[in-house]
Amino acid sequence: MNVLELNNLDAYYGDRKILYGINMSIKKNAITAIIGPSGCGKSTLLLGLNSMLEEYGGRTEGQILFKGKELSSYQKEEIRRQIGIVFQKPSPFPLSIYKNLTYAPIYYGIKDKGKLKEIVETKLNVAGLYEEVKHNLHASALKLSGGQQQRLCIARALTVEPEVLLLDEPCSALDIKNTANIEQMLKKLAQDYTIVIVTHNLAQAKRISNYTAFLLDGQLIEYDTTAKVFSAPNDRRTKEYIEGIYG
Amino acid sequence: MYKLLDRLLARVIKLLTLFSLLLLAFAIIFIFRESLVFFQEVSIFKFITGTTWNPLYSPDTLSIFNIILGTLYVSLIAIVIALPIGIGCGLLLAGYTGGRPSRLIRGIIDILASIPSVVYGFIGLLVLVKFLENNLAMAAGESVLAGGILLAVMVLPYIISTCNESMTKAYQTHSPYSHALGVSKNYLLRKIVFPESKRAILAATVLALGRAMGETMAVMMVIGNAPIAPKLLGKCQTIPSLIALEMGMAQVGSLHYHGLYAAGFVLMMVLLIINLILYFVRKTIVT
Ligand SMILES: Nc1ncnc2c1ncn2[C@@H]1O[C@H](COP(=O)(O)OP(=O)(O)OP(=O)(O)O)[C@@H](O)[C@H]1O
Ligand SMILES: [Mg+2]
Repeated sequence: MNVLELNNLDAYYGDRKILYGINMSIKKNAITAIIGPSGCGKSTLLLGLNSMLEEYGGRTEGQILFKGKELSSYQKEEIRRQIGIVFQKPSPFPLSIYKNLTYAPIYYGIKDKGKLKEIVETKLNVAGLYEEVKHNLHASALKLSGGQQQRLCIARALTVEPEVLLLDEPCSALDIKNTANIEQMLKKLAQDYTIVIVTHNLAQAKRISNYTAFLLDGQLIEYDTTAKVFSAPNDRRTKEYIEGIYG
Repeated sequence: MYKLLDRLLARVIKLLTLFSLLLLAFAIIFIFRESLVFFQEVSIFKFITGTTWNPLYSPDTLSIFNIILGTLYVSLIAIVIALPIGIGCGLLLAGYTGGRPSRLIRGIIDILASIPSVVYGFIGLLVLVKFLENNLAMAAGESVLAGGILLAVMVLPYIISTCNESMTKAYQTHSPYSHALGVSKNYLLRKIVFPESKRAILAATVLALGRAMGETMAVMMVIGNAPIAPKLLGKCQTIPSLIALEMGMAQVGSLHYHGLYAAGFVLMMVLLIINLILYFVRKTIVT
């Protein structure tokens, strides 16, 4: 089943066209990787998927269907709640670890202390951070390491119970061990969530994703199962990219 | 080449810093010297704790306790009124930057800050004092309350612009991440931007307090200038307006004349102490 469907999607920053007629459908409970050289529009595509693009001064044209309904027909709050996003740069709020995680749930009306505590603990566990921080939940989140901050942001994105999780190069600031942790976590998450991940790391895309999309200069060159894309790509440019010609 | 320029610039900045410190020291020393004559006649303790100000009689009747109280009272009322409004405006502006209304509001705030204080005094006299007389059944509208309200209007622009910078920065830093959770602007302002701006709010408070306690002209026109124990709806006197009112009448070199300098010295010390206290409070705020 397709959670998201893009039909002829263009994206712009001002007058500059960044994405050209993207058609793709994103499968439920699978991990979809978006790869491509720097500046080809991967982040732009991701931001378009939960209408965050306009927060950065961009816009989309064309159609995005979320669960069969036009994305623009949803309330913005509803979209953001159901399609979470984790940015490339770790971006904790200048609050305690605990409050970072209760920030959104309290907004959505959860007041019960026990319930909040449970959310904090489960989400930290899912993100593989609980063991490391369980004794200083009330310390500032800014004191965590970059990798810990990133996992906190993943946990935070999950606190609103989204159906789709978008991740923009979540591991680019992390070491091998942290990366492995996150990859494992994402695989587990894919049982309950639909995951779209932008990555520069081809090996990572190969390891964790079910589907891979290759973007080049704002165009979707190839989109297929990861196995197919990496073993027998249809397009010469995909092959060249995977073999490391574009870097 | 750049290195040389860098070093030159560093020198110049150091010199300018030194210069401004010297200016401050000079101001303090100057006023202190002028008031020294007075403090040889009247003990400083008596001067600030006694309650009668009557320059026509003996040195015993030159004390400014009521006037210090009046200064503090008027200024505190101003802050109590202006601070919440200022913080609210600052937050609102931070959350709605870039738009035309926000630019318009900023423009208006700048204009408000540049209106001469005599003009504020006129408005206070014509509108505020009249209003109080008519509506609060006061015999005379000149009062602590009138001074406080007027000062609140006058310090509001300073509070807003001091808070606004850090609020805008906090808002811009965190808004994408907050919006990504579907959370509303107001919630972001309340939960993150406001606590992030505590330091700026404190700085704004000090600045506003300094302005309020030092304001002369406008306050003088609406407080009635009676050196009695201040009550909210009664007349009072503040140090700056006392000095402005009586400097012209005091004979140069007389005890009265030096007494006014002494009052100025006390005002400066009070402000210095407030600044110091808030400086240390500010240090303890962790962000
Ligand atoms: N806020 C913005 N305003 C204007 N142009 C932008 C903005 N953000 C990105 N762009 C432009 O859009 C194009 C695509 O950027 P995008 O961030 O989507 O690339 P990317 O594929 O994510 O690259 P990277 O792998 O380096 O993150 C780039 O040419 C960039 O210059
Ligand atoms: Mg990017």
